[in-house]
Amino acid sequence: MGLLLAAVLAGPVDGAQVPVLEVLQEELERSLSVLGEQDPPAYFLSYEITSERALSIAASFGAATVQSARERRYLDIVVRVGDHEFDNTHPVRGARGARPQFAPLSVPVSDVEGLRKALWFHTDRKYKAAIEQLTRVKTNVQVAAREESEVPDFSPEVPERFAEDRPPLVIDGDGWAERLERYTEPFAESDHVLSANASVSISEVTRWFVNSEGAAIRTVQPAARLYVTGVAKAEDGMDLPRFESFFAFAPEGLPDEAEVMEAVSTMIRDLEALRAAPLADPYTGPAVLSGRASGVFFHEILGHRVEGHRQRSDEDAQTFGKMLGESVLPEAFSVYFDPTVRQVGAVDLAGAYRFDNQGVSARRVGVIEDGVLQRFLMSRTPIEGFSQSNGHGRKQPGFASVSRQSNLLVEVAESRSLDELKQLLLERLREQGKEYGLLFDDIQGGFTFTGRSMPNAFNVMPIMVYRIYSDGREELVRGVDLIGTPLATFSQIVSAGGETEVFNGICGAESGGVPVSAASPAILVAQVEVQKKAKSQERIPLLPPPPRDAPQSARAARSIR
Amino acid sequence: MNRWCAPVAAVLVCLSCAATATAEGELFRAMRDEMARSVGQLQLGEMEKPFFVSYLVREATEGVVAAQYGSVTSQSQSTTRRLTVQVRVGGKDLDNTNFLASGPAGFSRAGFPVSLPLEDDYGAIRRTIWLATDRAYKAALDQLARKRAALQNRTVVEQVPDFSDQETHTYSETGEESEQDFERLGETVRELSGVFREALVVSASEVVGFASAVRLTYLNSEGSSFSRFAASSSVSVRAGTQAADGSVLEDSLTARAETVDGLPAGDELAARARQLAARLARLRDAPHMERYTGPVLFQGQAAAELVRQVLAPRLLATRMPVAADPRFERMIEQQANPYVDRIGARVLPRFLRIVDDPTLDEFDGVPLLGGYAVDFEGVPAGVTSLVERGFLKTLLATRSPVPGILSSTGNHRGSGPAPSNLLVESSAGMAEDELREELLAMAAERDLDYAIRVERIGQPLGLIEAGSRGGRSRGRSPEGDQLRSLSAYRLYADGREEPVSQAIVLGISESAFRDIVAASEDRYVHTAPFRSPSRFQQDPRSGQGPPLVSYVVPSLLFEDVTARRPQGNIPRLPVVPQPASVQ
Repeated sequence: MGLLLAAVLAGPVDGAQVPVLEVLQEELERSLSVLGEQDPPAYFLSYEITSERALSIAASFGAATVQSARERRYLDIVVRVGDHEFDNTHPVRGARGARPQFAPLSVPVSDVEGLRKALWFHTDRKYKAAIEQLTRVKTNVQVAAREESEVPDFSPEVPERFAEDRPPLVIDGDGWAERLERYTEPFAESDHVLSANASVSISEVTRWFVNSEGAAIRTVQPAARLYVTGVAKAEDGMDLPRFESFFAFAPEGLPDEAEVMEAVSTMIRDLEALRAAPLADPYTGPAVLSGRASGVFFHEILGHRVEGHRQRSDEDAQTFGKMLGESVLPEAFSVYFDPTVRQVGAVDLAGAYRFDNQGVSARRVGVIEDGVLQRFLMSRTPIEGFSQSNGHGRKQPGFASVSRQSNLLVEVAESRSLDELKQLLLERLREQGKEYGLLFDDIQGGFTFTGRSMPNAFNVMPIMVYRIYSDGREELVRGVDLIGTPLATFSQIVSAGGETEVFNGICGAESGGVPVSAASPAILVAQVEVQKKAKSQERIPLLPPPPRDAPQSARAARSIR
Repeated sequence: MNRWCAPVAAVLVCLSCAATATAEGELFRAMRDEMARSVGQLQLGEMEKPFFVSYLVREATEGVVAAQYGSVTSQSQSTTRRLTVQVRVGGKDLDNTNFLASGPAGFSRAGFPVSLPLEDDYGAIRRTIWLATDRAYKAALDQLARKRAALQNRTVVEQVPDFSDQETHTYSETGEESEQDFERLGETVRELSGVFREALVVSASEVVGFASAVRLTYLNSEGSSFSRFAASSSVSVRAGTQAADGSVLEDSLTARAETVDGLPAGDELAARARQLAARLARLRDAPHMERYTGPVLFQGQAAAELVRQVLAPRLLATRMPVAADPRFERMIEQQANPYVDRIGARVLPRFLRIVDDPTLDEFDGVPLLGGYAVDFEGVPAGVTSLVERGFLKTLLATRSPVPGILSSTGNHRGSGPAPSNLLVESSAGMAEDELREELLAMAAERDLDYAIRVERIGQPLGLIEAGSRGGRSRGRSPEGDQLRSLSAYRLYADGREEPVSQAIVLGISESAFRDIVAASEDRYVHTAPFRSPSRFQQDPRSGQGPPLVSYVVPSLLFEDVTARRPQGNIPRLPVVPQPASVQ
């Protein structure tokens, strides 16, 4: 025992020796004073530096497997040439399949002169790229078909000023390694669990943001993530995974050992049960989605379609583009995106922040109120009817900001209990003459397509699915994914109930991976569709597991031939 | 350096305690016990049992740190222990390897390294080995079936076994393992990057340090085994600027040693970095390389780079796979090494010979870093004479034979055959000034006003131009794959010299080496990672980085080389002047 990762992550907030915000502002003014006089002139400039430090530790079957530590400082520069009405970020129409640019830049922050030199060098490059792009979009506007709507390219916003400090993180790396070993030890007792991992990642992200409008923001955001994974294999070769993930703003906020060990024994029980579970068949009919499943479901089918910038792209299907003011959910349902909420119940929300990546303050956005679609998630890119940001311009370092989700909160006016939902499901079964309905309990994640060149489907990947028979009996099944198309599925949502549950995760889209959460009570859907899951063709292991201790006789050397 | 380094440095301690325990410890015992079961009992129904199984465990502590202008921009450190399992079914004449499957490969995860516990936990290690072997065995059966199917309708013209015989060999390196001082590496890199705060001419720069301590433990079912340790460290500097007309000028330097402590001292590195900045400064005002065709003398690093980039890949016996899809055959043929069919042919002038020697650890007091005692297949390393009096004798081989070379030369270096220390030697070596005279005489013969000598060769670094397009991604100009002279001179008949701007060098293929006119007596040592240009020479699944190869090469005089200025657009100079505080 005793992996010597005696990690005390003590240290001043990164770059504390250097007045980073001031240097950024000075250099920004100096550059803009020249670039603003060029032809075409730069009219907006912003700098964002993101400093990430992270420590990762993993264990498998009771033994530590990986330990790593890293830190990295990224620089993001936005140069806009032209004016608010029309600039270099104007969408190029007909450029199908244009890949989002990913260009992370490294930057020194603990030396004033080095920082200035790096800013100078990269700003010049960005300006040149911006004027090239402006020429391209100007040409495009002339040759491409007329745009459906004409809106400005950039919204004016109030410059925010904010500076935050935090006491340094203290991490007991050694303690974590040992804890992860204990978390994964019980999996070794099952002959059927073929892979078991627990990993913890503890990070601290410091951001500095300034723009030419006068914004100056420094925030420090620690985060701790704990993942536990177990995978078994059914006799037919199907991989059966089971995941648990925990998120908190500080390592102390993660669940205590008793709670994790409890989750681990549930996982092992579930894995054994899944191996014995029958394969589910393709099916349509009523279903109950647990709170976590509903959260992911709303994130995929609704969240990605209310990201404002999609309403501007001629490639996007714009499902909800013309449905403002229309009823899209039952009247009892409201859906908010609120990065200012940091907790639901006792669970921290990963999608919380104070300012978005464009320096706009976070705020609560009522996307659906009393069932009616009210507004979209907005970055500083206006769309028809919405000229301002609502603090959802987000990105991973190296990407360009677009409107993205934060904390998705589903609120219902009349909440039922989970049992009442199940009763309603049984009623539906009788009405539809179905033998059984489905209950989606735990899920692994999901994805969706919002473009026009592909069917606008979503896929939610459940792990624990139960058939609920008309007599109320429940049976665990395996091997299906929940699929559908957004509008058809939305119209089938009937009712909600039970406790609000939280799903924390990282959402990937064109501006990279951003932390998000989704919190929802369970919902009843009158009709869902499930399809068979992709399946491994590999059989279960041929030999039984090896003994856990070396046989005494084996301690003497022997030939292997 | 801030205090984040504390955990980073602490990681180092764990490898050393894990590694020292291994030689005959729990790890090896778990490997041996699971090996016995795999060979004795592993069988799917009536299908073939494995005829060969090998386990390779790589335990590594690795760290990377990057800095600019005296400030660390990123660093990372990790400790890992990873297992690669190889299972062969069929027989040595025809087995599941040397096969390029197409379509969904089914068991795609098989063959990739898997994480093992860092600690010597017998039960947990054996469990991982068990599952990885099971997966590799099933994948091997699948591959063999596909391969047999693919071969059913083809007649193989020259049948060569898939796997060569090899005597068993055991080797164990014990004793002190050097530790890497990551904190010192970080400090070195940070300080060195500070040199460019003052270097006004350089507009973009980066210093990257790397260090690793790796123990390899190997066991195969034939009874061969080894345990060996290797430490490696490097500090690389990249810098770029623009000439007065905007032309991109870039250059780099790398210092290497086994341990961080063995790297040149900070002052020495700083001096070299300043020289690099001075080289770039000189080139800012240098004239462009007008189109030139004629004799060119490649000296020092430039000659070694030519050998590395052009000749070395030809010296490998790379087995070309059987393709499931006949459409791939053409592509495979194009990748094939023409030297496989040229054994016995004259490939160099009669005064040159080439030897691969993994047993050397220095040349004239300069360390050689390509050496090892036993290769990745457990084959003992040995000296291989590749070219004698200009004639090609053999190629560097692994246990995957090629026609004409049926046994291993002990050159499997992780992902396929690679040189170790490659020594080029002339039996008629000339002094450097004799070479210059020869060069000038050849130029005069062609009525040229001047001749060209090249001191350094490299590739575009993407520091300057990529900024506007691709950030850190390697800027691949259309001419990116060609040889680029970083430092070259016009040499006039009166002995006068004039630096010329960075240029493209054309017309040097392996056949040009046959017509080398002269070589120097003195030789230059150049160490660099070996990256094979052929995709079939590198197995991406190996989890091994490119191996280091040391080249010992004399200056080389070629008769017909074309050089010209790079084509394409020249980026504009910066619009905003440099920050005043730097000046």
